[in-house]
Amino acid sequence: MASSSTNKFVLKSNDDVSFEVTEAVAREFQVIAHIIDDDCAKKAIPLSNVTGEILSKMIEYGKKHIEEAPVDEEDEEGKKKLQIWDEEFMKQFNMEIVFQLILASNYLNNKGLLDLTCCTVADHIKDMTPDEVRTLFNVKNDYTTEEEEEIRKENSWAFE
Amino acid sequence: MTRCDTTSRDPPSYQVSLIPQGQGKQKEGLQMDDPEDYRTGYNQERAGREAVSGIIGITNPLPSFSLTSVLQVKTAKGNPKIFLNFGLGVRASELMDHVSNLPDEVICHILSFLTTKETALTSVLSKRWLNLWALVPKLDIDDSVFLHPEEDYPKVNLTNLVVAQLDLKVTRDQLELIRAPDDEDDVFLRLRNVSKLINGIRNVQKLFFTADTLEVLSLCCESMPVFNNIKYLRIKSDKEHGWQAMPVLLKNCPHLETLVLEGLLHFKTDKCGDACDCITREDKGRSLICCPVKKLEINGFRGTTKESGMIRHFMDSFPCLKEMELRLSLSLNPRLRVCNKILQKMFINLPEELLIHILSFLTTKEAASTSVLAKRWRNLFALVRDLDIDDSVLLHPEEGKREREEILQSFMGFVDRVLALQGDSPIEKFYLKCRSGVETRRVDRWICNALQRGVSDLDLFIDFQNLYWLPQEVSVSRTLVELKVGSGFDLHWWPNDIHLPMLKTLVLDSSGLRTGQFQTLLTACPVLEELHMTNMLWMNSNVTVSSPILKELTIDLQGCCNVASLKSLSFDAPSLVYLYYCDALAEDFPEVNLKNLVEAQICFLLTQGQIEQARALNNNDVLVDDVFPGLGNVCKLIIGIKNVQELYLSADTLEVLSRCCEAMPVFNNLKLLVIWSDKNRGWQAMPVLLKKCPHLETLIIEGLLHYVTDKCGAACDCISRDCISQEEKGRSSLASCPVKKLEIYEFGGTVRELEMIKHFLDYFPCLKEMEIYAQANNPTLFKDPEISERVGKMMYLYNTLSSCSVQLFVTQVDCTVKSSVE
Repeated sequence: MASSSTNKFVLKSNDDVSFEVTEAVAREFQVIAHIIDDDCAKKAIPLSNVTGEILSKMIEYGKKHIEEAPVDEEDEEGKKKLQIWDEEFMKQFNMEIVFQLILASNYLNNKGLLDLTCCTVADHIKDMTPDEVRTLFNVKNDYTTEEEEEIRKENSWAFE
Repeated sequence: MTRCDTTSRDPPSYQVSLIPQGQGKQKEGLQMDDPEDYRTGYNQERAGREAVSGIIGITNPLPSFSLTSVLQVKTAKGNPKIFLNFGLGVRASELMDHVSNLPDEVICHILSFLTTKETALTSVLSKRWLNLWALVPKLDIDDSVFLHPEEDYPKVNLTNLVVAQLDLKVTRDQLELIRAPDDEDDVFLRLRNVSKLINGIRNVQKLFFTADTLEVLSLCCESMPVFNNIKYLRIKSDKEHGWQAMPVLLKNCPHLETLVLEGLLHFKTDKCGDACDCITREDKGRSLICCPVKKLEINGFRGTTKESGMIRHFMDSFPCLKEMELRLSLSLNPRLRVCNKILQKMFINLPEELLIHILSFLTTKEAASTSVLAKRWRNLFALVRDLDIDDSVLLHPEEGKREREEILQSFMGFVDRVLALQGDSPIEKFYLKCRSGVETRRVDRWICNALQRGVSDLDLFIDFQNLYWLPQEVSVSRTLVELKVGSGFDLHWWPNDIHLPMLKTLVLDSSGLRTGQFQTLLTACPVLEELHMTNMLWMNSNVTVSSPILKELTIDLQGCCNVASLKSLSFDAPSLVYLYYCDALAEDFPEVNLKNLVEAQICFLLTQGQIEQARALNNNDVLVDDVFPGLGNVCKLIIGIKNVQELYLSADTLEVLSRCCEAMPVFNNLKLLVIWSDKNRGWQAMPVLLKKCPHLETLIIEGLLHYVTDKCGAACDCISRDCISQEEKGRSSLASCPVKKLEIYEFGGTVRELEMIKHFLDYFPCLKEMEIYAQANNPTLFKDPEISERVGKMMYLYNTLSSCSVQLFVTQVDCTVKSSVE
């Protein structure tokens, strides 16, 4: 396993930006880990669904989580530190980027980042009225007034 | 995050600490959990340095050394900030005379916190003190928290205070009292004493209130002082606490310039007046009409309708408002509007499973409110695999709303519907919290529904005031991996054919078991690895913990000592790694098989009688009546846990261990020993214990002061040195002690503690490192210049005269530790 720290792989985004990463970082993304295991990672790995901007952020996340990984289950301090970093990390993005990150982390299968990004969106749904959520995420209301009233009645406790 | 930022932007000109005497008293006054409540000032990285320079400032430092190099004040482990309040604004001469200037009744009040014996010692201080102690109402020896009658602030003299930060924690009960005042109620009357405190700090220039504090202030609306100097007011809000005090507060700040609101949402009451737009009544009062606030800062703004409404209201109501700053929370980026089109596409294109994943981070209620967004969302929330339902969570909480019949019906209908929508799809987690009013048979049905769908993690908190029994189906689930049941279900009536083949974690709170049922339960859970039981009612008097694979066991009575102790307690758990035992002492421990135990925390709850008996037997005095037959049997337990690597002993446990000094096993693996001390419990077992730990590396002592006996031997210097010669002492138990690191907590700076530290430095031959932790709010250590100076000098001497490094750390008070000690 000595080679795993020195092995480098090249990830290429759909807008032709290439990133060289260590094997450990590359393996943070399950899909890429499989490609490596299948020995198909000799050349640059093309990622057709991810832009360079998004990929660079994902690599930043992956690197941080490799470098600062908590020592073990008991390492509460390490976990906390990483959690604070996660929060700060998410603060720099607008919603558009957050959604792109959700799709990309789903596509490359990184559970940590997927949970983090989904949780960020969920935080925006909390405490918001449906109208606000609609505005925030630009959801088009396709109910008629009567229909909406009926749905509200169905789940009335949720609106108390 | 925001709070830290703001702090660093506004460095205080200087800080003054609040009321040097009687911190404990203030705490009692409001029954607060957090011992830091009455702290004034800022938390700052550089507080440590200030503290050091503060000590120099008010003492006369010896020219030969600088205190800065001596006192290495650092933050405690994992505590990035020091909370330290130091009286830089108070002159030393004032401090020196502080006590003598107090009126008699205040001195008596101070003395009332000591035992009668201790107060009597003060009679020799000076003539004035001769009989003062006798005026103190005598305290019971077993004084409990409730016995302190003085929940009051008799004197608050802080005329030069500049910055005050109040965080008065209130309990739920107190909150109810505040909202429904009852002049007959004793607790309520005592709560009102807070107005004395507020009056005392009326000269401040900067004031911070937490949400709790603001709610408490509603008690002194009539007596609210005029804060003539206040320029800066910061208020934290949350949904649980109301703004009743806001109108009066704002009215009484005639020179307020900046108002910072951390969060706008608050508990809705009809007393907010015109401070917010909670109610749309005409006669809201006109408290804001003269309000000179120029700048309003709102942190954590999220742009909800409610918040926007309030902001509009503020713009209409504050006549002098020039500037309003809204700080958005999270990534509600202004760029949002520009990319709305793209966003819409993104959100629409998000595959269903990702939307469901997003919803899984919400409670079931929150997720359900998305059903009205659009047709696609209608039943999306029901596809989330985990259910998280709490009947007391209401979007618009109001007094007694949960109990209203239509709300209860609506709640039950909601759960029924969600479960129906989910059909028989598999479910992983089911968290249900509900209280009286919900129909028991429906709760049964919900639980059974989850069980049928193969739930693996069931977390139930059902408080029906003992009128509910957990359905029997729970006891035969083939899928449950984790089961938590809170709020006292008796399991008596479960039949004996319990079978939980997958259960790995079981958490029981206040459950009752019938005779022999504990053993049945253990055999019924063949893969159980973690068992945590709090407040168990042991109906059977002989208990055997027998399991080949159990790894963690907690038995915690949480301090209530009224339960009769067990006749016998046996352990046959060779895989057990962690044991926490906090319960009455069993009469016997016939079998203790805990070969692989790594960590043991033993906190026996002893009665006064048992303590006396232990001491009497130990002193070879005439045997007192054998009230408790098995005191000596504790050896069996101690021998059984001799393989541990980490051992934690409470003061009571240590005292009773004095009964097995002769039978004390050798703890060959022990690396860490933690001792909690108590002024009323002795250290008789210490010498033997330390001698029997040949590989001990770290010794942690929580509190040095203990009951003085003649059996401590070399472990401390409580017996004057002339009884035993130095050589003899050196040759005894500590001579071979390999302890390298000693940590001392709750250091109070008394002479006795300092002498003990010196003694440790002399007698532990391998000691390399000593860490001493004092709490930042220690009433004397950092307030009394004499003590500060003495401690400073001693630290210097320790470091120069011994090869061991001695460091003093200042810790922020950890409320959890504190409360459990009390």
